Amino acid sequence: MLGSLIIAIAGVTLYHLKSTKSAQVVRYTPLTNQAITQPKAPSSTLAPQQNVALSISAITSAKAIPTAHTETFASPLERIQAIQNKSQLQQALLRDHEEFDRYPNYNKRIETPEQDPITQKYAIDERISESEDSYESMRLWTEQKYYLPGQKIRIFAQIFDENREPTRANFGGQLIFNENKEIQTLVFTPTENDQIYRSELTLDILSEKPDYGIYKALVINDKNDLADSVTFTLSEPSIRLTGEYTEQINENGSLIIDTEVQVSAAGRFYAQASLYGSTAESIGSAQTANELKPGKHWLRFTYDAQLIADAGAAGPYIVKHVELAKTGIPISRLPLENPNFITDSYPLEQFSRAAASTTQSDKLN
Amino acid sequence: MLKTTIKAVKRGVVLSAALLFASTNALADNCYIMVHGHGTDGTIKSGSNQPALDYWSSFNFSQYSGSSFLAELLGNTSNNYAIVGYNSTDEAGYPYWRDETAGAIARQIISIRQGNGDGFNHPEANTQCAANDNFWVVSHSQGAQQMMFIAGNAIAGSPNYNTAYGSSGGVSVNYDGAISGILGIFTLGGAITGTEGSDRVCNGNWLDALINFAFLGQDCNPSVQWLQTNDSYAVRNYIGSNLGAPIYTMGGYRGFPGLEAASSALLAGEDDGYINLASQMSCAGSGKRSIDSDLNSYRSFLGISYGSPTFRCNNSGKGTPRTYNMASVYTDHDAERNAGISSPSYTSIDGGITCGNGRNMAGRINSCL
Repeated sequence: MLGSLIIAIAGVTLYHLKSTKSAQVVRYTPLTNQAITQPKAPSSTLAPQQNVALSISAITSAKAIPTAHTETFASPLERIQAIQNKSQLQQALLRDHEEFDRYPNYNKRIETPEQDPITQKYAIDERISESEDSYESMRLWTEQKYYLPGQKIRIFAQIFDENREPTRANFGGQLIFNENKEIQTLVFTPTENDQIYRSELTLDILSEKPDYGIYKALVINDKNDLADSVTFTLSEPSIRLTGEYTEQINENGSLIIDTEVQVSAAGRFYAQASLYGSTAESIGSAQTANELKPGKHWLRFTYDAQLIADAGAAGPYIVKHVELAKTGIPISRLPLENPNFITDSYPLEQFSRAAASTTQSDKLN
Repeated sequence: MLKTTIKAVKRGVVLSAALLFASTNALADNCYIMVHGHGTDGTIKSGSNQPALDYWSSFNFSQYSGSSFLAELLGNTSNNYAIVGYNSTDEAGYPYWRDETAGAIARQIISIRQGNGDGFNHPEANTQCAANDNFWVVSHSQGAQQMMFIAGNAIAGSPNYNTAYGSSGGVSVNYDGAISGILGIFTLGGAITGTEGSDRVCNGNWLDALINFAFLGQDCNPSVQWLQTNDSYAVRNYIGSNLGAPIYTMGGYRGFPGLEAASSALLAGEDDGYINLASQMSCAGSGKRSIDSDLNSYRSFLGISYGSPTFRCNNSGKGTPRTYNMASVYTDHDAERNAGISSPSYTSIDGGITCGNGRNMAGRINSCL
């Protein structure tokens, strides 16, 4: 044991004596001839959380060995894997990478419907401002976050007293564009619902030659000095779903759904679609981005077999939500689409088998 | 000059010679790529005038004088760091999606990872990163927002994949190359979904000039505009459904010292004096939503929370993908970046990383790696 300890300290010292701290690539020297003579194994043969430090043979046969001569190094992740006593952070990091590598990076597993990235993106931006003593508050929101020209825009406001009860107040506001252009004053009228006040805009003046972009409604009230703002985006109607879909299973066993869109103005477009099971189980989302010219195009959403297998949901499957946006600053995101396109019926085992087969292929490669 | 290697020795002495080899293999140095926050012209590298480097020891409160994030981060290790500098001043007014911000950061990360050094004069000897280091990014305040934009557009199919924006439109930037292989991104007091401070500047009711010091300017220039908590400006709406590297969030919930503590009363929920905790931890929902230091929302009466949480900002309650809780620390926005509070208390959080408990944000990273 003492010998091991001496070797250990000497080894660490040797490593640091060789550490040049310069921009050179060569950093450290292997400690044993045995290690020097071992070839670097292909990284693809390493399982994500393989603990190579369990045995000498595992260490010397499976790991990449950096040498001063070959200038080859283990990947950063493999170095983390090789650490004997991993910290909680290092363990969390390996778990993350394992999950990240489980699916193609255009897919995202949706564990629960609440975690659907599309509905999260379209969720109402409910803003609550509290008085300094946190006793009173004002609630502000818009009916939607993204509008098209001509659509009715509704802004809501509500005041709560020190007992957290909604109370009556007079609200006023100002609508501005891009933080610097005053559009119009806002008039709020009470609704019949729990002292909620509403301001409605048709934005007809914007319909002829609209300023696409971010609008902000600044709102004040006469009950307290709370003030806040809420924003919405007037988006360019440059892309829309036509309602045409096709589906297929590709050679990897993934479910492919092609979605037709009509583009009216050229640009780069981002699209994302979330897939659900027939009994509303959330499965995952797929994203794609493309440069498109005016006309009809097919957008491809690919759902990996592993993604569907992990959800444990048998077909038919439902494309429940679709997000379409013209990229740029600000992003011109279209109002949420809920096409509810239903696929043919597929047995879950089909995807499970495909997922297992793909994994096996990866191992063989 | 050799540096002490406490961590390495600790590991080495408990391993056999054979196991030591694997451990040594794992002990490549860490390189911490430092991305500063708002209000710094990090493009200046003139002799000892290095604002991007000085950012990590600068202070707005005299009690933090002499503290250094980098000293705490490196400790007695052989680890390295690299400074990224970009122009985040109000005079420049560049939002997070600009080529001068996101583009500049990504290009510097690529150069650093190639082993070219960062071009800054480090006061500590032998701390420039090498190409075979383990790379991490440490970002503060606006730097976190920047890193979210870069990591969130580093994957093909993202809305702004490898794209930043200049004065005349899109510019190609290799975010993919910058982020691919980065082990993780730490955010400290990140303005991930903005700050109510910006709301107040842009909404015209930021009345207390005393509070409105170096972290933010007086006018609603575009860089401040895109730091508002309104969802339309949030970086999460400008990224794809995945990130190129995982993000570990650390949030502060202590108000500023002295009179400036008044700023916290103007921010909803817990905050670090300038950024709402919900924004720092990238919680789903409004960037100004009220959460306590345990990252939960509760019903409240007369300012006192009660009952079961109505919302949990755990790893399933994030507004951005691949984003994780690391720690909720009793520290303010200034001390986050200069490590001015050496042993802050903390609150246990769902999914939190406990290595480094009791240390400040720099020390936590040091302890966990």
